[in-house]
Amino acid sequence: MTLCLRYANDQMEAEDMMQEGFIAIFSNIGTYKFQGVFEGWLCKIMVSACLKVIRRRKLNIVSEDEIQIAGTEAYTYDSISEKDLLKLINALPTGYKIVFNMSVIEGYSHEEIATMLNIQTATSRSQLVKARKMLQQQIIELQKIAV
Amino acid sequence: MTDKLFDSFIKQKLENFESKVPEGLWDKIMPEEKKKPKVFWWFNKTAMIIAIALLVGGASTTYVVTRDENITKNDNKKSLKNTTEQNDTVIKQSIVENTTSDAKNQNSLNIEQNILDTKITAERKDEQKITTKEQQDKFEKNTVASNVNAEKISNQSTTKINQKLLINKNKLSSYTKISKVQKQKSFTQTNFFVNNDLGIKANDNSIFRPTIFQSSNLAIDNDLSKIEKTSNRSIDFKIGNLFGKTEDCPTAKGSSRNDFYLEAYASPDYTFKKVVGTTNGLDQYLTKKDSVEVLRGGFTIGARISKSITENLLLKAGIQYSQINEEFRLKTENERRQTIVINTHTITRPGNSDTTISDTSYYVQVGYRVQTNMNYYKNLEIPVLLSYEFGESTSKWKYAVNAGAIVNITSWYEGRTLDTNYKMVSINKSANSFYKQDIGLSLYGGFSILRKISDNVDVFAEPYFRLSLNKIESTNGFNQKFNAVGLQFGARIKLNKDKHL
Repeated sequence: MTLCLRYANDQMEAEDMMQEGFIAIFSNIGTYKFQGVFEGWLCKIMVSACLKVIRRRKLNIVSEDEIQIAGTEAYTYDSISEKDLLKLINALPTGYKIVFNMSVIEGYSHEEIATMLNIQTATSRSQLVKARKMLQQQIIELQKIAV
Repeated sequence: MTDKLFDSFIKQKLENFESKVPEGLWDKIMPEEKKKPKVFWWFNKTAMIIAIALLVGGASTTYVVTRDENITKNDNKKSLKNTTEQNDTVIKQSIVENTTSDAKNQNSLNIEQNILDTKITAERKDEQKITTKEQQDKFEKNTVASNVNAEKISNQSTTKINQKLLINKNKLSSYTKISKVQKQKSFTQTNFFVNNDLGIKANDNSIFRPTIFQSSNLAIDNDLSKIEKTSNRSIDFKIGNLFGKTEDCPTAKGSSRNDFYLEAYASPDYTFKKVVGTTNGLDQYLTKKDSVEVLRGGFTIGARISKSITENLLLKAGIQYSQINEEFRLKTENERRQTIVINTHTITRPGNSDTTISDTSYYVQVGYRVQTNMNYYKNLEIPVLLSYEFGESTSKWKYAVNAGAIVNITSWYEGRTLDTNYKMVSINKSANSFYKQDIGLSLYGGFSILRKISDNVDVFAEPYFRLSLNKIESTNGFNQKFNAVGLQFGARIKLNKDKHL
């Protein structure tokens, strides 16, 4: 569910993603070759299902000029909770969010992301850099408020 | 913090974080699944094709073997019936094979069906039939053919026949020519007849009005459907005729039993496994392997055709699918954590001097991961059995002893097991298959208790055992074989509907 929440805009969309993902898993369970970790296979199908839902509402890759990101300073992020972190990731623009999730959490390479999202590898790289910076900034802001 | 550290921080935070799954989500998923019902034994397309091919092949062979016999019997039956009807109406008869059509009334039909003179040669009959067929082709729907099986009729009525064949070969041929000329005209009626004492003769034009024959009191049947039934063998087709006699008559030796049954059955199985090493030094491995695999029973499902050979003995053959389930449960060390514990004590000595003492110790926590998986050993087989059936014929209960062989057509396996390096490997069918896909043979023995439900349907329960003669060879230096006991529940349907005497 967390995986779906990371890609979705809201809870409802996450539920849709999860539902589609499980249907895809049940439909394709026979194709699992017992090669590699089963959880990895599940995650791959779930990610595909999430992307399918996102594609329906048209993936919006944000251009570099659209978002201004301030420089980040050295900071510790220890105190942030998982829930808050998830909220911050969700608040990222869709393109950032997808690339960030796929690269950082699911561990896809930029080539794989580019193929799956039908974008340039360079776009994937830049989206990741910007997503990371934006997220760092938001975490710092959040912690400042908390203090 | 570098990007890499940040990424790993995020990953670590969210990797194992679990969100609450909203209630009712499973309910939404399950109905979607239910839209695609799967018949569990049809998941393998190859097995399905083989099963269908065998069943269709068996039914076709039986049909071909029994067809000729049935047709002859059916014809005899009809001949007898026709003769009886005719004897009631006419004594003196002529053979008239009619092909009648009336331009004014296509649907009205007058067929005069008489007994053929025994003198009619086969040649003449053939010519008549050929000509009739030619006319049928030419006049299509306006022509109705009646091919009377004259030979059989005549056999029943030889003594009463005193007739003469008037029409001859020449007339037949001239008739055919005239018929061809009249093709474009309004052709009314064509007749072939063998004249009788009434003096009706064949006209060279062969145009006869139906009324002539109606008045001659020879009309038997105007019903088109009846004519078709008696003239066309292929129409008289009963499913029951496929599989045996329509009527069983006592033979010279007494009553005979000629029953065909279709049996369908399913059974839960309790299975036993015997593993034997074929190479030395595998004892420890086989013990470990045995500890991670637990048999979870199985099932068999199938259908077979049963044919009586004698009064009590039946031969059974069919096709069945059997599956043996096994749980693979491997407990492996997953994680080891070492926690250092430092106990600090402060000792106050006389003179108020404090001394701090630290005791360092550690403990280790070991986390285990249990991997469970179901292994399936699947077989497609042909059972060939002999059954000795006994019990009183009037009783609703019967008993049977069954014995025979089960021939394995193909086997395929799914799941995981340990190899000799204690690593988990797949047993799926592939190029480097863990098990060789052997074609094996099993012995079968069982005892059936049958309960009659109706004249044609029985249900049965059959405890049985099966003993494998062949072993499943492994590429890791051992072989294993499965034996089973089970309880079949099934029903059998009698395919020949008449009771035997």
